[in-house]
Amino acid sequence: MAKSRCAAVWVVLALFAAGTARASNIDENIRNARKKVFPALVNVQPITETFQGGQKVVTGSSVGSGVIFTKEGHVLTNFHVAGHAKKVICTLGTKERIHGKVVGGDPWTDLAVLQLDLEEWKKIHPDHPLPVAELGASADLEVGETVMAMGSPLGLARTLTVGVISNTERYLGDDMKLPSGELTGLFNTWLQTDAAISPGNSGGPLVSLEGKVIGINSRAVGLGSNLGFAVPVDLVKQVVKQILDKGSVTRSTVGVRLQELRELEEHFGVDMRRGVLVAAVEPSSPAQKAGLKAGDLILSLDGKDLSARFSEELPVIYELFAQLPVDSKHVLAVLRQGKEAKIEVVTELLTQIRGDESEEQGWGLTVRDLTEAQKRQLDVADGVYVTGTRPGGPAEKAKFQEGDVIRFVDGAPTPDLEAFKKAVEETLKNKETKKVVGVKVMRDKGLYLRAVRLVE
Amino acid sequence: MRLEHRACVLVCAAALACGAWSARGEDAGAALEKVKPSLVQVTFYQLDENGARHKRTTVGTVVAADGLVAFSAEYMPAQVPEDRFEEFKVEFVHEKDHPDLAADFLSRDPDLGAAVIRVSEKPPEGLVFTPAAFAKDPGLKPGQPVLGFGLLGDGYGSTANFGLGNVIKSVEKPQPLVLCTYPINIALFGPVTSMNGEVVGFVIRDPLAGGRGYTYGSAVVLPAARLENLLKNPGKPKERSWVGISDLQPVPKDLAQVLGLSENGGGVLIGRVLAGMPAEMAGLKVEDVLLKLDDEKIDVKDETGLKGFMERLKRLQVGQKVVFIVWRGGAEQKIDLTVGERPKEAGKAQRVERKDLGLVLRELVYYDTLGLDLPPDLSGLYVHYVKSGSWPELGGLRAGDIITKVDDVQLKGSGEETFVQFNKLIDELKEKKKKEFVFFVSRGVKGQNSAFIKVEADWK
Repeated sequence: MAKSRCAAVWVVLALFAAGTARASNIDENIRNARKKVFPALVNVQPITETFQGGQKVVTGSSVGSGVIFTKEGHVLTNFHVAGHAKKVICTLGTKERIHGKVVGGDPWTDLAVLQLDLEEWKKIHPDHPLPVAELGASADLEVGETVMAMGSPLGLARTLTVGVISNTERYLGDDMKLPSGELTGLFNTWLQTDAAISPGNSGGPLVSLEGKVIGINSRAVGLGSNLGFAVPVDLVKQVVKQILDKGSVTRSTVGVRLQELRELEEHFGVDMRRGVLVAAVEPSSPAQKAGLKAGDLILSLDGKDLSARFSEELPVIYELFAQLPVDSKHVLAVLRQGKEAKIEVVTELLTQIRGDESEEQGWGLTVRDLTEAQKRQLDVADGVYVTGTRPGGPAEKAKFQEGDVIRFVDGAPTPDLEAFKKAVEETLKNKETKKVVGVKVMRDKGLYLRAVRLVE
Repeated sequence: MRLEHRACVLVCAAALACGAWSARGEDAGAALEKVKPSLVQVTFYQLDENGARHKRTTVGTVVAADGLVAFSAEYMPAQVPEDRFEEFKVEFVHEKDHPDLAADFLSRDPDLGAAVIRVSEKPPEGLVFTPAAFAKDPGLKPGQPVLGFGLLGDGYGSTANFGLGNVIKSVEKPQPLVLCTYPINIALFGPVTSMNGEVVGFVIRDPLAGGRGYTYGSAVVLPAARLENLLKNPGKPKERSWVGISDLQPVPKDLAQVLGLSENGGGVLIGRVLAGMPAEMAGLKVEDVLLKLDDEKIDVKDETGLKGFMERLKRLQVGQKVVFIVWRGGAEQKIDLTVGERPKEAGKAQRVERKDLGLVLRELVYYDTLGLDLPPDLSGLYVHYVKSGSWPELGGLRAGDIITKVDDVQLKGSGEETFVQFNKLIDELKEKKKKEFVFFVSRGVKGQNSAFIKVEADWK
């Protein structure tokens, strides 16, 4: 009896000893990881042109995070941090400030790549190469692994927080938008972590105990506690490659909204884990032209079986379609009311719902080009989209509203931003002879005629 | 104690207000005595979809000796179907023991903002319905003194409350209105009388004030004559007229210049002609400028004028033939139009309750497909209410969805036909005790968020 009690004490002690040993290992790993990544950690201050109240405004007050990942001076950050920046000021781990510019970005995955001015670095550190963090892998991450978030929460640069991977395939829905209006999140799941992530952490790295970047911290849920989300680094690598090659990411679409099959297999007469359900088909999309209908089950794409039983599996399928070359023909095996059929579909370029923006000072308004996706959404053939009017300016007096689509200026069509700018320039040149100009706009489904007075 | 204190303050306020009008004090007292018997308290209940009853209390005016009572339709919004209101009662607050008599709902007129009910319960002995006396010739001229009546709340024993005021202005558009000053906030739809106690109108919300519709420090009065039709045919719901044009714009001077119209401007530019509606059938087109309606100039240059024109359109009678003169392509054209009836609104749409599914469904109305940019001939049922915890709710069905298919069977037709088909389909599922079935619902603008909803049923 006494012997066994003694043994029990030894077990407890051994466990305790192992526990402390592991804890100290973790501490050591965290310290080592910090040493590897912190020098490459960047505080990103974007200088951004925004359009507010019908005017172009330059702002530089926001702060995000980033991480240097190539010795050529490329920095990873979020699109919502610097995607629209004209230039950036980066504060490095050495606390020195170096200028940079945007190489390219991808709102769908909320990623952007910056280029630091290497000459500036060399001037300060002629003998030291730029510190670089290593990009790891995210495919084999496990829930429970200890990770670190590094960045500038609320502008507090070089902050490290620790947590675990809470979920490796969090799906946040297909209708999210970035603050600047672009759609996001359709093509990826997220790494969820409880490492504290606050505003300002955006664009900073999520780091493994090995000191490798495993994700880019992008968003957090304000309502709960310690619910942060990072773009997995495997996806980051794919996106970065395209941005470095050509400045942007090209994706294809066929124009379907997919729904997971969860528990609907019996109703549609398919085996479990087979097919993905078409919930809606966009008007005038390739899918509609090919004859796809809501209720169809897509079983395969070019012979590759598709399956989405759960919503987390949808981004993978959207991404498969997105990776197809634009304007290429593909074969879908479709199950419709129990019968299988082959449908040929031709992909088209996926566009965002936010085009280039511009200010027309003489009229006192800001406008955006319409993308194909937005034209379809608004059901207009073409035109430019009003984003704001300057108080007291000619456009505001003529009662333009945000959301108006300008289609004609003085009788001439304005199908895009270029044509509109030209038309406005013309009206300003001739304003002494033609003081009032007629403008046709579409507001929702109604046609409105506005009279813009250019000379009082 | 506190109540008495407050009552005292109120009396003082009234006394102060009346002080300036002391010369008319005796007139006001006599008018009050004359109006008092017709001032009643109307109560009824509005049922919500969970079956909960919400009490509504307001001031009413007895307008006929058979117990006809008029009150504000604001408490019975047009989008809520009439069958959601019940247990109407009229309390004769100035009679002995405050008899509270049951009443039948007759009709409401959302354009006027008025509703009428009639007392159906036999009155106690001695109670005679005393209708308010209507002024034969209101002759509401600026400066003319008037009295506005209402009731103080239950806490004050539903006491008749009145204020002295003056006519400020008669406004013809958007509808004949009278602006009055009042020192005391008078209840909505309380009667307004001349100094001899004859009703000249009713207090309504200011249609031009925007927002909540209040004009502080003054009241807007609907002339009593506007109620004539409603009081003559109280049981007949008003046919609401409809031309079928929208996105209307005033034509100020600058726009007139652009359009090549007269230098002063004036007119209404049409931004949208709704498919299949009277305007389209008559040949009105987008970009037409309406210049005249039945020889009367449409002199609209600003938003206020436009509201007036829209009120004028509302007052056209269903079936009335009108002539528009329009400006099209630089020349005037004559357009003959027969005014139609406004498409059925959601509040008047037929509904069916499937208690077994915890659903209240209603027929699709024109405005559903118009608002969601769906084909006007879409067949389906609008999900008005989904009971919390019901099978469809657990499957993800939401209020506002439009069910278009049940287990892959497309719903057909409209109104009653669709209900019959839907009920038959569900009854069959029930009979077979089918444990799972699927709704296909159109969701969102153009159905872009449509979904398949699996319902797991546990038929008993």
